[in-house]
Amino acid sequence: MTQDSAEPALVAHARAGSADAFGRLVHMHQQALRAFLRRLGAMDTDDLAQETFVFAWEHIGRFDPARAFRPWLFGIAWRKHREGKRSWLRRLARQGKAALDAEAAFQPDPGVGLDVARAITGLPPDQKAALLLCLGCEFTHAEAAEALALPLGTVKSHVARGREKLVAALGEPDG
Amino acid sequence: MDDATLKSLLTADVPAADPRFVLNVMRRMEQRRFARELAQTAGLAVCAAVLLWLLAPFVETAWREGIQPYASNLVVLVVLMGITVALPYFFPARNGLE
Repeated sequence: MTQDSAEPALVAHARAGSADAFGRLVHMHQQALRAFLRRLGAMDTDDLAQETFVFAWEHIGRFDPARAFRPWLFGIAWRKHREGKRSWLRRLARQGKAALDAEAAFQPDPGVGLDVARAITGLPPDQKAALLLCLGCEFTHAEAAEALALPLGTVKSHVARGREKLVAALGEPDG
Repeated sequence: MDDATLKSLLTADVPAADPRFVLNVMRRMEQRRFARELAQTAGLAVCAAVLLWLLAPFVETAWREGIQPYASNLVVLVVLMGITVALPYFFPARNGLE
């Protein structure tokens, strides 16, 4: 049985309360999710990824089994990343460091290639997430739209513009 | 630069599968479950204590007027019932309990 064909059964078992089945789902998706958060420039990516999985486990009853599991999971990670970033900015503002350039302070994980990391950091958050999901995680535009809770057309436009900016930032002509 | 090159750049540094990561997730899940159940149990205990405190005067009156005069009879009754229930276990072979 392939991973893709096993997933609906695992999701069904996890919804029925099987922690073992959910553990296998964690194993299946951990690499892609950690890579996505790392490229987003999230602070403490593994902690955030673990919180994402725990949240998914606690709310798996609300997941619609007719839909794909991956966009739902990555949607949780994306929202948690944004919430974490907002609360971090609020903390900074309270501490009187609002003048600090927040975007610049969110340095990507050093594990990501430096040029690509710099180029990605310059993209607006939604564009960055759409591009990373579609090109980095092999999501379809529809799946990315579901994960990011954005209209399909917006995601397509984000991916196209993000791609252009990334190519320009990496210093190679589009071909 | 084509999509394949971009994709290869964006998928170049995927972290390795880490069994410890899965274990950490499972540990957090258990910790949350434990904390939730502890909070529920503590909540129930507090509710029961408050309820008992509110009902204490009525319980005390009922005990004094309804049960205490027959307390010695009740003790004998409970002991007899206990013996009746426990007796077969002293002779398991005879009572088909082996």
